[in-house]
Amino acid sequence: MIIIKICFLLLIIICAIFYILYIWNFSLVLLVTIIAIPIIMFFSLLIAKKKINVDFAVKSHTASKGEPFNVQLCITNNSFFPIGKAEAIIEYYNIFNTQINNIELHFPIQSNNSQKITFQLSSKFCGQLKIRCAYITIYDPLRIFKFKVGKNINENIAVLPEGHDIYGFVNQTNRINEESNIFSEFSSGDDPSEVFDLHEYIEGDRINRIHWKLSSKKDNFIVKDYSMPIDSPITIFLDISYSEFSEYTLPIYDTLIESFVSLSQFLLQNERIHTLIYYNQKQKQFNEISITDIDTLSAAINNLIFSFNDDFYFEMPRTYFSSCNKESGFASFTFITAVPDKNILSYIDDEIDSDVKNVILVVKNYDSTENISDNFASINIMPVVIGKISSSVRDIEL
Amino acid sequence: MKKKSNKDFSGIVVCDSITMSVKKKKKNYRKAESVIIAIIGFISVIMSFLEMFDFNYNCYSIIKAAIIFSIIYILISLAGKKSIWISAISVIIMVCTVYKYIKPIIKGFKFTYNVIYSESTKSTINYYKFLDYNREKYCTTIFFIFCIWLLAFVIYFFTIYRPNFFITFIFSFPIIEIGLYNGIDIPIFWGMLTIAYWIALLAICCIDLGEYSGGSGGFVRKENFFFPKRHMKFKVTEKCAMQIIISVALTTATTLAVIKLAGYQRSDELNQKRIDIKEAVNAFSLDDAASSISAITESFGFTLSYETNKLGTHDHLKYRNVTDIIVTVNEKYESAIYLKGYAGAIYKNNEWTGLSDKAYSNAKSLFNEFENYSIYPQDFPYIFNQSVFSDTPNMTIWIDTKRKKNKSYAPYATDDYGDLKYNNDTSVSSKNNNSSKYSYKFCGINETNGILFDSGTESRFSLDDISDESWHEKVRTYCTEHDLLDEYNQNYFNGFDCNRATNMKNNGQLIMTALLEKEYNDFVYDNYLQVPDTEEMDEIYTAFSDILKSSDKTETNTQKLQLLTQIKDRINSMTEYSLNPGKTPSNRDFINYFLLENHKGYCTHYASAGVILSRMAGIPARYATGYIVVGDDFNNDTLNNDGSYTINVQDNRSHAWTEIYLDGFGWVPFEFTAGYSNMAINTETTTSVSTTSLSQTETVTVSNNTQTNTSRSTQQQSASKDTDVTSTITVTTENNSGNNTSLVTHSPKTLSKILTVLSIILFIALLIYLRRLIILKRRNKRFRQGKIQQRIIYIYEYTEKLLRFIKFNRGNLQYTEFSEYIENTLGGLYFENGQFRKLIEIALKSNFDNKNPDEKCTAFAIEFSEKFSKNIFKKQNLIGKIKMLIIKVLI
Repeated sequence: MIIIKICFLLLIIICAIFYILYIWNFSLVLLVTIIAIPIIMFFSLLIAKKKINVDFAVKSHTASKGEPFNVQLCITNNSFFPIGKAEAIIEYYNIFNTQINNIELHFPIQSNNSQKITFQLSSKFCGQLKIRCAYITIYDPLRIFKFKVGKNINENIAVLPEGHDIYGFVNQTNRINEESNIFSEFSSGDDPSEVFDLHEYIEGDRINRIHWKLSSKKDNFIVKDYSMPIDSPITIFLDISYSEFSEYTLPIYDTLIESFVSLSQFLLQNERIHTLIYYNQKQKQFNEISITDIDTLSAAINNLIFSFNDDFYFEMPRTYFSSCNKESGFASFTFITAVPDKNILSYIDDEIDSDVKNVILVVKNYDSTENISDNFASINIMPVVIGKISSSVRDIEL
Repeated sequence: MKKKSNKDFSGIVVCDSITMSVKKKKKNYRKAESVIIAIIGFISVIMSFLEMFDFNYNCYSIIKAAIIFSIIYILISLAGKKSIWISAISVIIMVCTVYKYIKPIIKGFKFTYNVIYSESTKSTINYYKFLDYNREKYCTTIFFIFCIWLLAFVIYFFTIYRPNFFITFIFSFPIIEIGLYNGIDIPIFWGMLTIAYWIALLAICCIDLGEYSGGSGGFVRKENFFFPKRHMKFKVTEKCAMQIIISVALTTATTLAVIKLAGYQRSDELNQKRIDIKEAVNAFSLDDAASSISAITESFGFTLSYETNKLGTHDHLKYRNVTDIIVTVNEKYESAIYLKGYAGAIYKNNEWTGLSDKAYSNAKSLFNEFENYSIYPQDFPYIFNQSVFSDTPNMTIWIDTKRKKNKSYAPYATDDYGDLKYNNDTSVSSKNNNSSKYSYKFCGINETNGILFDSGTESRFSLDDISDESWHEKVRTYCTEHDLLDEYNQNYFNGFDCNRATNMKNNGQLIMTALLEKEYNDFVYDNYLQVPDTEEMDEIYTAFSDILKSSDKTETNTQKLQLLTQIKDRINSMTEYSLNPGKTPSNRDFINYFLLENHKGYCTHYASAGVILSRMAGIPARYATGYIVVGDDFNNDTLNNDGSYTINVQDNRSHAWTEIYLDGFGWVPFEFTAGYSNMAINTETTTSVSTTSLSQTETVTVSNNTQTNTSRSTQQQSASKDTDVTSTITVTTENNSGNNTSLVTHSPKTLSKILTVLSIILFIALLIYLRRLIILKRRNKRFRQGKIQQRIIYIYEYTEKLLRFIKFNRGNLQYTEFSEYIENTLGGLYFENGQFRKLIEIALKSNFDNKNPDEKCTAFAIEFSEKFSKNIFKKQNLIGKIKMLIIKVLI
């Protein structure tokens, strides 16, 4: 750029000297033209700059992990002047990682037209993808002048985590929310307030379950199956207070979130309503979301992913524990973390009233957990190596 | 290209595939545009060349050849890679043809060169002789056809197929340059089209710089950089190039219109500058590169202020008649005022330099005394002169060093009133260094003033006679330090008595000056009589020996001046004043060469010779440079209302002279240069100088000088007889003529300026009107003619434009969402509710349904858009209305 400017300045000087030395009018016309051309270029570029609008367009703000998704850079030039050369700097990054990458797109901009440049991104890890058009530099045809347009245009896309199959069993518990009227659709239970099904008497059925009124009408013993309440206090605490920025940051966050998704899916498969607790960075508070079905799980994942901020501020789990009601017990309490904080683990071990206590500890490798695993009697510590959820989470009791 | 240094942990992958799509599908005219650009370049280069010179050729054959080669090479270039082998074959055919027609081609070249040569030199002389002129037309035509063939290949190939600015420029520029270099008038139209073609091609190369060719379109990836391929259909490279061609054409048309309407003529100043530059460039010498460069920059109007006292490095001296300094003198002076800027003491290797530091350090005590008693050698003439002519009023001179900002000039015999800075014993300057304007008080002196002090003798002074106590004490101190006081009576001492001075014995300052002069006199004789001990100097001495031998008898200042006059007369008799003396050969002595061989020179030659000969005669002398203002400069033209005179001292008044030391008085200028006198400068030979190298304008300048000189001499002759009336009449006549001229010339100029402005405004208005007319006509045609589907789309786009004008942009909204939004916001205000929704429905139907909308729908759409535009127009303020009518042309 600077070289071209200097060259053009030299050209003007040469034309000025030529104007002095060449006595015919051609030299004057040439000098005027050589001076006028950059001026015309400047103003045409300025007009174009004012008439160019830049925006991002994406079909969906969510994308699957590992699947490419389209991002469109929409440029509208309402001016008469085409732009021969434009350079767009597109920055993109996963919010769990500070590493910002960019691509540089070189393209023309047509006059009086709208154009879309579609490029595809895919992410290996779940999280919030931020795509930013840092700026688009537009040049005049001789590349003497340049202007920047479309600065800081953002688009966010949530890359959704995948659920993995885990192997375990759901503990039958007495800690049921008695006021709840949510019952299992597939399994019968002992709650007499709701009839799950009716069937003809089979040997072994309890006599007090016979529906006498109906039996008299049908001339056969009809037995009532009671419903099974499923609203038990099962809690998954997702600790996102992992602050180390390294090549493992993204895989660890990915495994943390996917561990939660996998557990949640497992619980839903077993008809267990459960609660997710996590720190919402945008709201700067701990959120508790009740997950009752696959839709609420999907919404919870969306909320979780979009709750992260660029500043990455978070409260430690002990803040939550110090404020929550210690007397309420849990049927099952699962703490998912990547930070093996002994104080927190001690607290869970000593203070949390739960039938089952699990800690899913996301680690880089198995060696990292050697010192921790045996110190807490009531906690089932389950190390999960990054990216290996299915093989790591086995025989978990929830 | 940037490279990623860090390892990527982001896990985000950018796919290689990038696509670009546009909303309005337009036809791709890239190739057509590049063909047009190439044709413009090809024709303009040929026409520029052919119209510059008067060649004898067969025009019809040339046109035919140009068309045929154009078609062939356009087709080859458009076909691209597929026809590379055809290009190769065409080159082989070209070589074979050249081989076959080599003789007529060579002859054609010679005929062509003869025409160029004769037209460039404006003569009928041919460069190549003995040519058969019966075959001129045939040979020139064959030569041109070959050139056109080559040019067609280069221009079309490197514009259409593989755009390359440098190759085409290298080929086409020399064709134009032949004429431009020789000052031939190039046809502006074709010349500017060539320029437009070059800039357009440069733009194409700039836009595509760093991009990759190959493939038919799309993007190519290089790491994280995505570039469009050269042949991508959405590129606008050629459109930008066309934009440049149009810009150049418009600028050219406008400039030409202004030139024609304003009757532009190159100013004499510009022509003079052109001559100055040519002169400076022609006079460039590696022997004295620094001053040559300085001269070139000065010819451009930038002063580098490089000055050297190296002599004989220029073969001629050329004055530009520009004002170097402006002096204002409070009263008329009937003699010359020498404004000294430099004094050289030592002559060595054809160069004047100052006295060495050693010489000054040896005389440190003397210079300390000057400082202690505040009397310097530069003050001597003023103090002595005032002692004789005490009634003479002082003169004041104001000097504005206009073009010589870093230099300082001062007259002789300045009065020190506390604002002077003394540069050893050579010159004075103002203490206020930062200002380019300064003033001096001085008394007018010349060499004859020194004669008055001839009769001075050694005399006895009494301290008691000095009435001024401070000077009494100073003289006592000085006499005590130098053991001058009488051994028996400490109130008496011996000093030098200026007999002509009135009341000298009471004047302590004068006594002190006389005492210091006596002491300085020894310093002068020790240092300012040096002559190089060389054979060349001996030869000079021999040549002037008859005069110089009598120097033993020169004791008084009068005798010295008589001797110097004899030397001057001898020099003048054996030399001729010339501004074009030629360079001094590098192995020769400057003064020897001037006096004994070349016999030509200007002030520098005379002054240098004068110094050396004076010294040979035992008279201390120095070489001084600066400016001279002569008595004739004080005339009515320079007279101010307050009686002072302001004189624009031009560069032709820069001067070198000899200054001699007169005992008992000090340094005074002595003029050796022929033609220079105290009243006038009349170097008649100036007119005969360097006329061969001067052009028309220079001749005019010289003749002006001659006229000025003539008028001066006439004035001089009748000076004593002229009455005030005569001079008044002269002035009146001049004024009248001046007024008449202004009346005659200024009125049409003003009128033409007004007309020019009006014409430009009219031209712009016409352009705006034409643009508006074209847009409206085009829109009307699009709305009412063609397929209904297409018409509906145009109408909808027009409506969107209207909406954008009032800041309603669809952005990424769906059409249905957009229609709801517009209905809710503008419905009822600009159109009836539901109408916009209906328009969108019609537009969507016509775009996506197979059923064509009927004429009713079209009529509704047109009616809606027209009503909508009218309503928008009504609600706009004045600026908005103008914008809508003129800039956007929406109604």
